[in-house]
Amino acid sequence: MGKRLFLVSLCAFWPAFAQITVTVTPSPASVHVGTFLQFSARVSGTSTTGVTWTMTPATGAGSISTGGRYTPPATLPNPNTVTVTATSTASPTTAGSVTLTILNPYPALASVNPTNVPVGPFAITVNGSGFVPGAQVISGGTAMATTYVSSTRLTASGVTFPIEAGWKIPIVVKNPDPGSVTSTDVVSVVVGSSSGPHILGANVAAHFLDQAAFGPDAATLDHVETVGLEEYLKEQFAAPISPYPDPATTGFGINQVQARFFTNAVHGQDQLRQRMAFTLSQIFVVSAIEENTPTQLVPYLEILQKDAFANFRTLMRDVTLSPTMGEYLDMRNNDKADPTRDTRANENYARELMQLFTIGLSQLNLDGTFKLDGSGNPIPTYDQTTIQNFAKAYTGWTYPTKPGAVLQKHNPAYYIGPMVPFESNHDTTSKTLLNGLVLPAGQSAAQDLEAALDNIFNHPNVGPFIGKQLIQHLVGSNPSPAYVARVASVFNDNGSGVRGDLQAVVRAVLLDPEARQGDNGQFPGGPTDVSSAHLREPVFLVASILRGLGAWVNDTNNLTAQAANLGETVFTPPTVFSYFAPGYQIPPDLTHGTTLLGPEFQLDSPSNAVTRFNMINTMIYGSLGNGAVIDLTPFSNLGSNPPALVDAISQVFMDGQMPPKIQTALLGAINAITGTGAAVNKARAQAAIYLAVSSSYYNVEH
Amino acid sequence: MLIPSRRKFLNISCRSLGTLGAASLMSRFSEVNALAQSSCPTDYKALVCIFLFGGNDGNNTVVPISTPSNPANSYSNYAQVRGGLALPASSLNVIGNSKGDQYGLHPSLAGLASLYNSKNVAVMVNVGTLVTPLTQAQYKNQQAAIPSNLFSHLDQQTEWQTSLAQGSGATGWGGRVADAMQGCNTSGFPTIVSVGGNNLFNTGAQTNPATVTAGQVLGLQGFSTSAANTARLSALQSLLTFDNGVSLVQASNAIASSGLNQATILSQALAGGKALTTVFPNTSLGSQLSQVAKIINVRGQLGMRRQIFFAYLGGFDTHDLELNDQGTGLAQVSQAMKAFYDATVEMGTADQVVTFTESDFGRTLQPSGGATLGTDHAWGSHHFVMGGAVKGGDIYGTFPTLQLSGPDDANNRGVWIPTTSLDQYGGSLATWFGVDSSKLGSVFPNLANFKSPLPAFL
Repeated sequence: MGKRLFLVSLCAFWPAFAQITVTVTPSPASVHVGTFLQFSARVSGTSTTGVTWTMTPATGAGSISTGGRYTPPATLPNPNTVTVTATSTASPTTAGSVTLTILNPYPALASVNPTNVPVGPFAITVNGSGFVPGAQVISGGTAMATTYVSSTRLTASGVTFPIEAGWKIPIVVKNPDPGSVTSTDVVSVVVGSSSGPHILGANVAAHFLDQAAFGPDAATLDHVETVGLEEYLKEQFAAPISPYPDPATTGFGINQVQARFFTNAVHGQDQLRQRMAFTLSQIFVVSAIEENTPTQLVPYLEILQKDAFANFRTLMRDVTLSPTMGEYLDMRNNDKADPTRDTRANENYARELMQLFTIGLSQLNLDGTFKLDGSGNPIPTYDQTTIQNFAKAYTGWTYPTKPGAVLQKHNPAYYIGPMVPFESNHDTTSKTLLNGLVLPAGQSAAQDLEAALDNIFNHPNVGPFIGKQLIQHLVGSNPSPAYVARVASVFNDNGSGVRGDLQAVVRAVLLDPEARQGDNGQFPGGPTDVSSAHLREPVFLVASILRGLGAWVNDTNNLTAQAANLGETVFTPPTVFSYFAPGYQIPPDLTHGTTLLGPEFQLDSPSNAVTRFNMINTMIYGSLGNGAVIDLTPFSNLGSNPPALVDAISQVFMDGQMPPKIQTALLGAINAITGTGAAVNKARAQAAIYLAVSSSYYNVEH
Repeated sequence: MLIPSRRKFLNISCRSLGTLGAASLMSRFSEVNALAQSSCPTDYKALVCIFLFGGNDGNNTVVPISTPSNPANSYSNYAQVRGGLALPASSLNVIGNSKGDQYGLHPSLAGLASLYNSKNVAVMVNVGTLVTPLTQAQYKNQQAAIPSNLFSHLDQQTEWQTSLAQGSGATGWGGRVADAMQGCNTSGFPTIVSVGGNNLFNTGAQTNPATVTAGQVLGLQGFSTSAANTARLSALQSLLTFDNGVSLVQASNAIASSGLNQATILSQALAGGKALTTVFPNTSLGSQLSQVAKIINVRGQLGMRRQIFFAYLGGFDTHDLELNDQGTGLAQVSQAMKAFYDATVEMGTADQVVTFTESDFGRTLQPSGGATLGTDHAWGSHHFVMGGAVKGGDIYGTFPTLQLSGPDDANNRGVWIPTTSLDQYGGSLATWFGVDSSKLGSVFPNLANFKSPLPAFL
């Protein structure tokens, strides 16, 4: 009998020898105090699938129901493991077991006292639930000296610094291991009063915060008026990073990561870094269409946050070796040409790194305009052969090797740390790159990679290509060539001979005279030609309305859905080309016949414009849910004084410069709401705010 | 939320928004323009473009099985080069052509194959962006005009939408057809309705599209008939006419005004439409085409004789996991198109509606390496034309020789130089739609470079 035939026969008889088995899931298992865990048991080998649930020790470490639901005790038992067993009712000698680890509870915060703290040393009391000995109060990312009082109360002391004056600092609590978890940041303290005299007008500060932040809020506005633009930028470059939830410890889903984006955008002290990181996420695109778990996405978002003010070459390297990007654009497991499978190196990352992330398709002058050949045509930066050569240079990389595992040609998916090379899968032939640079044969994967990235980084296109896109995202859709050239020059040399200093580039973008036009409502080139104007993209619109209204947002918000209805789901662009193209042209019959770029207008279809009105209706008249709460009281309090109400709205949403025609429109709607009392005052505030933030004057930031 | 009942809302919006600059917008819509035709048909016709974003792999969409009229190709040639990406012959949906050849459509295209076999679908092979006819020698030696930025998604999408392969087009070919035909409609409602957002295909020199997003509410929410709400609506309308001189503010005003007008007109018309019984798949493309069918169904109420629709599906950039991802995408395409065809039969418009596909480009015949196989960006590819008026059940154009560095390969990985230009493909569609031959050159400026007759699938 042949071996194959024998195996087939054995399989055919297999059920006759089948034994009863019991498999319990999940295994291994863990559960936080204060929650519960439902086990299930699969009994095979018999049609009687019932089980009896028991646990060891039987008492003192929680309980298990007849249906397999385990409930932990009120406090962590010692030891913190129990064995859960399901015994077959059909075969009482047959059982399956798992070891269950009991973890500390999820800490939750309800309040903090006081809510205002001075500059300098301060002490607070934090109230909530689920606290355990060893819990740590964290203020704005900094651990405080903490004393455990009870499972519902902690006290802590710390220090604030003068630059934090006026800041709203989130307070969270982190429980210790086992199962260390940090609470969501639903409470905060406000630091001191900014106390000094104002050196800037509110109009200047508000305009600047629409470019350098997700719009102005009252505290930041006051702060920028006090310290000025230069000082504010310095603070922002140094501000601690607002974190994303750690996928390994929080158990958050992708929707909570998206919610945290909005929490950071509305409340983060590092506004400029948040704005810049979101901009970078639209240039160096990975999409949650494919990278759809926090395990994949969060490490990538952390790169963009960390490198937002780093050197551009560092950003290029970190992005290129990110396993998340590697997965999205197929640089991980990019095999060298394999004659036995008739495959070639994958061109995806090689193409898009150049086309979208760094140099673009056509050679550029310093001012971002195309270089032209003798016939007046743009000159390509590279051709298909160049791409195939770069593709070869990028072969051999795979996912990071998991701790304890052994490097393979194709490591299993793992997203922590940079990708690693598997040298025998790297194409070691020579490669000809941009400007004729030849990488010699025989180099390692890392040598080829660094040389290829240097080759691209030093291409003269990078400064104008990236500089113009940063301007378009932060300041305006149609920068003058001279503005692009000024920013590109800083990219090329930050003044100290360093190329690619993003901190210097961002400063150049934001402090350029062209960005600052309109600070006082003055447009030297005439208002029809405002190059520092752009449509607020949906995410920015949502965040800036909430900041303007002093809304309170936490990680349970569903603001993602609001922006998604307008075509911009956070971290989920439809393709590597992002949500909209930097070169998108507004149909000229909509712009007085001039040809103007309007990248964000690609999302602004007629039907989306109506949806935008309806979203604003939900924000002002409806509810965004418990995770995003708007309190209109400060505006309602002015309801009996319509001019004051209009002025307050102007200060927050129109840099204090609301044109008379808009004032008239708002007053008309306010005065049509007759009567007196709280309800009338609120209705007046709602109508006026609805109209102001619905106006194109507001939606086009300028 | 303060959302009035739907009926109530419709009444309000009709009454209140009717005054919102509708007259001036109408006059812009029906403005006489250089492209407009002097004579107008009185029947109804619609073109429906389905754009497959990412670059659908034509090589696994239409596969040669037994092709005596094209002996250079065979299933075994295909299978050898495609390696691990080759679709098993037994899995293909077999279709024949008028020359006695047998091809196979991708296993996920059962619906389209059945329509092909009932002669309501035709296949246009190796069509792509071209400025002028191009031989392999001319391409390799750059002796003739070559499309701008080949192999780049955005540029090739743009060229497929503008039909200007030299690049830098500011209007789409759908928009230019609309420019020519807008005056033939008896209302000012736009000729083009995009259910896929803003795309250059829809932009004309004189006309802009209406847009509808399947699932979105049509029209303003939150306005009751109270005096206060009427005043607020009036204030909103006044804000939309506020010109502070900043061009982008004007653009935003114009778009929002169009949106409110379109929503008003469409909600009125759709409220009078008889419900369709055809069941559409609950997918992105299924929902879009369902929305298109609903609008065609009220063509009379809207006063339309000629309509163009734009729908889309993404996910065809199959650099890896191609067997899985392309199969998922094509299944959605086939199921949605089949349902849409059935809906046109239900409405009695099967002979008056032609649906066609476009995509960035085809993909390399040779696979790219990795843990799962995929393909890279290429050029010419195969497309579908569907409708009762289509001379279906046949394959049009010249099938490329599936050979690396062979006679049709632009480089060495199986990148097909198109043998039919998009101008010719679009030219056939526009001619059927009613664009005068004298106006065809304005819609497709490069068409004059191609001397061969238009493909005869219509």
